Amino acid sequence: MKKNGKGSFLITLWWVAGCLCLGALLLLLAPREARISEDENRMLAGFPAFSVETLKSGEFFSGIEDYLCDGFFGRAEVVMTVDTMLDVFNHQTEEQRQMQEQARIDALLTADASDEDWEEEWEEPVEEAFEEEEEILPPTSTPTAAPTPTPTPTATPSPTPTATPTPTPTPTPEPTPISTPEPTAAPVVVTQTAQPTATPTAAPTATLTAEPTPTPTPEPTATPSPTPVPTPTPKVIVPLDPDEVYTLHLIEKSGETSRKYSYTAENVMIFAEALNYLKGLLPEDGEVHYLQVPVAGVGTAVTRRTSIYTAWESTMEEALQTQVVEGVNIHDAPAILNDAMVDKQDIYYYTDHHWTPLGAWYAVNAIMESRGYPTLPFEEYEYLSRIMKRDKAGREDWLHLLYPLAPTRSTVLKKLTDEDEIAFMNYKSNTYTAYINNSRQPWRRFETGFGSGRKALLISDSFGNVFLPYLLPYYGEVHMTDLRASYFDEQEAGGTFAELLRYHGIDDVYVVLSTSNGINSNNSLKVFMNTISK
Amino acid sequence: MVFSSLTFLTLFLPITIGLYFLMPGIRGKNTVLLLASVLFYAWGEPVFVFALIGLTVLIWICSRFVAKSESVLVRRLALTVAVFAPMAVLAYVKYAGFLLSPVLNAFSLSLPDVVMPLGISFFTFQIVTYAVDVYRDRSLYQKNPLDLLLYISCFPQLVAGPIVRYQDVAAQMLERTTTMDDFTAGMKRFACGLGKKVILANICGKIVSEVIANQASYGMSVFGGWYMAFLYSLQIYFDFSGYSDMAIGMGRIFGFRYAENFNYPYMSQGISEFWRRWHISLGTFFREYLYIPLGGNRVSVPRHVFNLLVVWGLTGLWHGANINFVVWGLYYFVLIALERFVFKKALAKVPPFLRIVMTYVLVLVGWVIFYFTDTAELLRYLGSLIGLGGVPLFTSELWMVVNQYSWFPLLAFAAAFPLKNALRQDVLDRLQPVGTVWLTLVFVLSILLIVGQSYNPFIYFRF
Repeated sequence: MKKNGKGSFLITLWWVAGCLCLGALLLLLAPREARISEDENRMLAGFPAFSVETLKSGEFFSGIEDYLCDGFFGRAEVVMTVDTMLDVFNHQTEEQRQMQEQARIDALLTADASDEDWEEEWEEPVEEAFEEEEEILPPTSTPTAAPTPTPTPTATPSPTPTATPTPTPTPTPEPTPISTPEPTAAPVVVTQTAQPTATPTAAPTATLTAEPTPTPTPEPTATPSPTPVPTPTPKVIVPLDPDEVYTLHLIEKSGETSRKYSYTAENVMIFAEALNYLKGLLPEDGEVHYLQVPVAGVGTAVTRRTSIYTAWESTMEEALQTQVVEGVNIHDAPAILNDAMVDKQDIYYYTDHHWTPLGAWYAVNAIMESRGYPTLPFEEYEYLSRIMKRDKAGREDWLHLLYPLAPTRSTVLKKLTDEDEIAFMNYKSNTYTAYINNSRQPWRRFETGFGSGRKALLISDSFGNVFLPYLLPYYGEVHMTDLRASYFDEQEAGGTFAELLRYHGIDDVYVVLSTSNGINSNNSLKVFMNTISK
Repeated sequence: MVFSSLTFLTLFLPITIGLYFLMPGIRGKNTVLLLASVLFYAWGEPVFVFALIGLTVLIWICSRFVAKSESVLVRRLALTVAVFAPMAVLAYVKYAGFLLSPVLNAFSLSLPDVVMPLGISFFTFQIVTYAVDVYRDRSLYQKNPLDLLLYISCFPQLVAGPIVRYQDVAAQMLERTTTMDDFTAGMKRFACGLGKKVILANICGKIVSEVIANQASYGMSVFGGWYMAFLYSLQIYFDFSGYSDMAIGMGRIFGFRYAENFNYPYMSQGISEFWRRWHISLGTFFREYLYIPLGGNRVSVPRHVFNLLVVWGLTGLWHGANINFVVWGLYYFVLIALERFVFKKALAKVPPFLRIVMTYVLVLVGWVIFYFTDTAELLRYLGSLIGLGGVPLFTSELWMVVNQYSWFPLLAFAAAFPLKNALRQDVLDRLQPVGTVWLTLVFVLSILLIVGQSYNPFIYFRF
């Protein structure tokens, strides 16, 4: 056999040299900080922590590989190119493509619904969190038979810009050191007497209590008046049957149902307790609103297969509503979105798992109408639309990027007071990252200029990115944070969740999560509980 | 660390190659290789480096007795310790749970959780070959324990073979050179292996998962069962032979000549031949260090059958601590016994092409046994191969997967055969520069695919 020539030698030598250059450039230029990827809905790895511990455990070494891969130059484009090349082999018909996608969705949903691996992981931490909380804030609960009434909320209507709003910038609060909150208001108490039988260690037997620190009641400055809120009567919470399972299901033409998500009574009760706890952190008139939004895979199952499915339905929200105190409102996203979905409106993307601004607009409107606030038609907002991208079937998704109704100042807050102003939206992006200029850690503030004097916090995953713009007209400030694992860091944020809530003087909290991160996502539930109860 | 990772390709390998060739003299080069091997092994599981070093020291001490002692008893005792100590470690970390758990469970006892050191199945066998080779030939005794550690831990073959016999590399440990041609051929072999692993094996593996998921959703079919077995046969072949190619290629860059580990196994005309072409270094080990010492085939027929049973039972068990691996080994025992003792003459009359097809079909059944560690699932798939339980011939939904990858599996299948042998040598020589360019593209594409594997884009059905 002929020996390799000098040319071949030089080429192979360049392979080695090229690889070394690539490695060196990656080490030098790849972002060293972990960051969020909205495309992948996960944290991209930063340079791993170097310590004896991480060396011993091997975490440093595996972290290097993640760092190099996640920091690879033009990673998304590289993958797209390779995908395009591999697509040469793809001879699927459109119908086959859709069927296969649906099979994958079904498989993932089934796996998600029946995933039990997490249980051992989260039981202990959640309980620990409760125990710690009980030590810090001694329970003031009374027996179930005579629950302490929830404080009567003082109706403080928020204005909506029915006319051209007058921007009145909200002054930035002076940084003040965070101190341990003083209990000055009547606590919200939720007592659970249920003893779920399945996993005693995870049973929500603990009592969460919290003492809200009232913030100065702002002067209402706007005109719209909400529907008068009736004086609430003490709500007796009857625990759910621990064996009950609630579902999100698609309804077939035949009347049969096809289950997509399951929620155990236990999880519903634990989550209710978290929401109740959240309410306890707010001023007396503060409200908590919860919305769990199905991901596109479930929605498009109906819109794409109307020959099979006619609607969807969820039984979880009703059950959850029975477990929460006054001032906590559960909104049924499947019910809100059902008509639009059956009508095949574009409330979900084809090329992405998120809902669209139109879907979010429906949800915000439903919530505001339930509060008695006026709403604006979708067309009233000023939009900049552009093509998002085409999927393999050639369908297009459109971004609807709205300009805020008033000049909105958007800042990323770190260490409580470090402000970094960024554009409200990224009008140059053609992906979902355009909305509110992508998710940012650890805390985001939007100052709207509307003189409502009220402040809201949106706790959400990326589904909140299209939800938030429609919330702006109702508040002087809207804050936003993401409490998923690795997203919220107390050190970086400058305080615990409860401390930040008080510091910023939040009045209302909106929790908007996709079904991937909501009640049925047990890992997210664990993190959510742990974070807010600190 | 695995070869098909960015850390290895962009940092570890180039730096090691650079330092290796900068270092003058064999002692310096061995030191670079040793340090690189220790780092390679420590990457991910640092604690096991000490186990590897401890085991090496023990074997070196034993081999010293084997080589230096004049007492037969001492030599045999030292050999026994040198062979059984690493075997005992392997048995404990790999098989204790599988073998003892049923008994311990009956008494409500359990074994402590044990983490299996990376590559232990391979380096244990290398240690055994060293001890036995020194026992057979004292001159092979390695005076320098660091060189022994280098032989055992040399990173190209440390974690997945090929199993290098000490006698094959003993001389190369002390003197070796790398020519320009060696470097080029080694790099090209490495790129070829990387392509096999990243492009062919990984994509075939993806299709295997898709087929299994599809059958779980839409029901089993005869075609689906065979299609899955066919794809898995490609995945495992390209995965393992790709890794061996990378090891052999890197060995050549560093001046070592490792024996071939695969020789187009799917063109075998019989099961015995298949095993002479598949994982050759493992077959050689069992033949040299177990089968022949047991008497091989120069014994009575019942004893010969027994020897085969032992060898194939252990071959199966070596692949994993699960009942399906034992069944897989015994399956080959039965096939080889039938081939040798029952159908030998009849098979000789079958046309070669038919023999290749028959062998491949039997190997496919073997891969189904190998794949499924869950017995119920295994039986379901084996049943589906022959249409048991009213399984249809095919399901229309399976075509979704077939169409998605269309002729990729056929292309991969063709790559499992020595197509270049159809060309004359002078043509091949003329095509050599084209081959280098082609391998450059394969190398680049492989790196891009490695990056892609870490990318988990959120297209709407994934969340």
